[in-house]
Amino acid sequence: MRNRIDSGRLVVYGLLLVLAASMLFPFYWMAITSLKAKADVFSTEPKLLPGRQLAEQVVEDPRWFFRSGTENYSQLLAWQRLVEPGSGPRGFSRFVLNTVFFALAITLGQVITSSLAAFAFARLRFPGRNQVFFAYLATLMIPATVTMIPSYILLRELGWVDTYQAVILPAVFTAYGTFMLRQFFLTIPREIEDAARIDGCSPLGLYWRIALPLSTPALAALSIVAFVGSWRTFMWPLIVSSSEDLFNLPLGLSLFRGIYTDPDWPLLMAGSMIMTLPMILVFIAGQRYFVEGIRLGAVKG
Amino acid sequence: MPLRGKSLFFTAGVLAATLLLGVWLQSTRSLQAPADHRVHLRLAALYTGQAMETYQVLVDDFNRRNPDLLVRLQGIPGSYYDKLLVMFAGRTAPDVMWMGKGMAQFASRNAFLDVEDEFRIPPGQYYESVLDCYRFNGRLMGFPMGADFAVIVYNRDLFEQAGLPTPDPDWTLEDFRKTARRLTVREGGQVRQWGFFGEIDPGVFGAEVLSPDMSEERIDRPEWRDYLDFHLKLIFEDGSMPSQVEVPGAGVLTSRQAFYRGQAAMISDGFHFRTMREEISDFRWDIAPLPLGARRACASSTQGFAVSRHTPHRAEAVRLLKYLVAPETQRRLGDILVPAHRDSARQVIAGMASPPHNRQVILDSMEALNPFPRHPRINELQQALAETQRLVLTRQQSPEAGLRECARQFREILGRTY
Amino acid sequence: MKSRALGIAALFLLPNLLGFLAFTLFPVVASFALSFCRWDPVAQPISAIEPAGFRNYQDLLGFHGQTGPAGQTSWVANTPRFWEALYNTVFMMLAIPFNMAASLFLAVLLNRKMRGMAIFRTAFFLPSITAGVGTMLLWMWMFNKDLGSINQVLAWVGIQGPDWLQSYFWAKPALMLMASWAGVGGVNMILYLAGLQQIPRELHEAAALDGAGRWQQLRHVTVPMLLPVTFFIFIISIISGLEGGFDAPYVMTGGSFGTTTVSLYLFRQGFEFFRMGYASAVAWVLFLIVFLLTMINWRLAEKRVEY
Repeated sequence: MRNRIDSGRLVVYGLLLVLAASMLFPFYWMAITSLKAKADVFSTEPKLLPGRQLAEQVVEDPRWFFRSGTENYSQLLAWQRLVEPGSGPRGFSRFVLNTVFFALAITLGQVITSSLAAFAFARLRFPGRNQVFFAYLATLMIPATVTMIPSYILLRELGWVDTYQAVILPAVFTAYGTFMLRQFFLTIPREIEDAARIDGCSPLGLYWRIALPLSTPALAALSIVAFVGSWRTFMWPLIVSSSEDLFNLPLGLSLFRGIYTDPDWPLLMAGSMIMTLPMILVFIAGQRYFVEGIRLGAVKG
Repeated sequence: MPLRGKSLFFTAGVLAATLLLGVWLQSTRSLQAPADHRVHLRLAALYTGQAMETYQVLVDDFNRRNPDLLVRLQGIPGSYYDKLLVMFAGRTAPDVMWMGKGMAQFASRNAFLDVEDEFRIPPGQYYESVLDCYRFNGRLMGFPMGADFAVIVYNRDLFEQAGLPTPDPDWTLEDFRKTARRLTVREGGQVRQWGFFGEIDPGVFGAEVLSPDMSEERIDRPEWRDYLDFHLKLIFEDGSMPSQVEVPGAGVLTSRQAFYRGQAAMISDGFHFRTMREEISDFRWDIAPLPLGARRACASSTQGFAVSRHTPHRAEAVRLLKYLVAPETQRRLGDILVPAHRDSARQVIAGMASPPHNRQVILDSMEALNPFPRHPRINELQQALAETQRLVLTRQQSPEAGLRECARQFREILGRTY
Repeated sequence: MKSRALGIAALFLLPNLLGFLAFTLFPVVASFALSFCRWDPVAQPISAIEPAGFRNYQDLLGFHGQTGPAGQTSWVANTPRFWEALYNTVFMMLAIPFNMAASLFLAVLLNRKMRGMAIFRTAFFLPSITAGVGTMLLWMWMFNKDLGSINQVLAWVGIQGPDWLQSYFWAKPALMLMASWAGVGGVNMILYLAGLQQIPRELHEAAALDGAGRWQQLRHVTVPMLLPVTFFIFIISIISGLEGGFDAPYVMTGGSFGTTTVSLYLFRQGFEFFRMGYASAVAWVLFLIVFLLTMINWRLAEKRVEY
């Protein structure tokens, strides 16, 4: 009997390992390619597992990694187009900084504005609350393609096309974040709120001292969704930005690919790594909250 | 876990860092107006490595000669016209911009300044077919620098090895096909050397894209069948040309690489053939006109500049335009294209280093330019046509079905009320 | 008192509400109005927007009779390209059931008290969290005809792989494969996992007592209990399938080889050909399809779940 269970476990582990390996293989391929020189990629002998070769190279000459292995990365970060007047960061390193800025600004904006609104919907009583909330709910289903064109026209009439605020502002105000946080705020027991109120706590105090601390998982989940979402956002920046000094990494990478008709895959893979790695790190750092957030949100929503 | 102390500190820190980063990035945007009183002009051009350097030299020269102006060059890669249109839509268009075949999309939308009165051109000084590419309703909406066109570039050594004479300037399509067949070398079932790699302009077969008044398609016609059949024969019947599956743009690159390596005896190429001089040292080469079919024609494109109608500095922008298209400048750009100004063209061609030896081909080609019709929806039309060519030439569609489908798309595009 | 409550609420609500009005509510209304207008933002100032009646919808959805060479009349769509894009989009959505089954399979595998499950869960989730232009370039590289890893693997087993992204036959499956990679271990799997963990143990135990094997338990206990979550995932997948699918074809194929989706078609019409009214009409047709499908699904879900 015991043996049977163990072999069952073994089968499950085996399956999981094979599946995980095939899911992670692309990342491995990306990392390996990004360390190679362009000429090595075009050597025709098939080497699906060049990892051994690289490992041997590193063992043989540890300094190799910092000399040749990182060459694509340093080349990329130093890359800038021929003619770009002005001071400050240019080219690829600017794409990186822009992406960081967009992701931080949009995440902060989303968390702040939607937690405030969610608090009002969940914890305050005011005339018209349900009607306004219903309007929020109703727009959850509306695709971005519907709002895209008028939003663009609005920004154009404001003279904001091709500015930082044009990329950031429309992404900040989400009905989704408000909805999700409201569901969480609703679960806070009324007794805690009443006790705080008796202690003379203002609505702002309630929001700051009680609602927010008690919903850390939800806030973390929203932050991760917002951060990753704005890190990789492509369509909206594509529409509103035309100057390269406004590009984020997704736009920068596709520009980079478009410039060279004969793609330098190792270089492009280094770019992909620079874009992908931060998302992996953010996810791993916050995944406990994230998974919990999805689960709670789904069960309640 | 109350949100005091550490959390508050953390949140405030992130907020402050974000703000600082934003302010820094905003203050280092590249196209801000200069702090002094110079008039700031933005000049946009299609980003291609080599041409960009040349333009930058011109811009620096212009800035030196005009201390009251500051011109900044903005290179736009990829789908240049699409991006420029988006800039016009977003009201962030540059003041002066490079213009080629996309001209009609802008002129029909009244995006450019009418510069007819700025240029007094005695007749005969310019190639009229090139000027016409910038003329709409009889008015110049921009001005050309010059033209680029397709010729056949061939490997003379391979011709001699095959015992073939150099191409006759009046060679016909049949001659061409025979030549390509004889230049194809197979080894163990594999083609080691292609006879030809490229495209013969549809115009050679008498094919037209649109009727002269641009109201009707001319796609579903025997001339287009001839064009497709000819290439299909080269690829699948004679095996003298590789099947072209590459995306547009990449095809040129690979045909040229094949030529450099001696894997293609003939290719079709644009005026860029001049730069081959630096690439080829191990064989002799020259150019020949496209073969003669129903008429003499060669695919061509023009290049020039136009001024945005929305520029706040019209006089200054026109000054820049005049500098950019002046005959002297055209001669300086002789490495990129053949000047639209006839005298300058002759000078440039006379001053060219060899090879190519047969320079008459260049002057003849300038008289047989066959530009794409200047329809406002040129980008959509070209997309449809390119898709059909690709499908038919990779045998994913029969020529009949492909042309019928393409014609239907053309009618849809042309029939649109707006 | 009431006005004070409103004042405080407004303080909390305003930052989000203003943005919501400007970038959601106004655009929805404006987009609907615009879909009955024509306007070219390159050629015209905003004041030149002119009404066009149902013209856009007629262009988009209408048919007209055409006389063939033999004199017979056939009905032809006014805009076959739109229907083509819709076909492409729906075709690529055919992967949804398979993806859902795969997500469920992964969730069932993970739903055990065994060591290391969290690590596997992370591994499965990574593709979905990182999906973007970066991973698209990665897949372009993997799909490369001669040097890509996919064709190398195929070559091991003696198959000469196609030029995935440059073929009419393979481009759609290639994009679907990439989407599956990014999708199966993502939110859907987590939702299934949550659903599985909510099934009371007693149900399985009772089934086991009745002599049900693993497979029968899955069929008769797990799947019915997961029906609500399945419907939820199905609806979400259909919505995102219809609305999404812009980035991948835009970056990877440029919409060639039968990969133009409705959202890419819409983008082209709006921001390359500048037919803002027409593009808005496309958006509304898309929205209506999504809306109808969602309604039908809810109805079905209600019926099934009740009984």
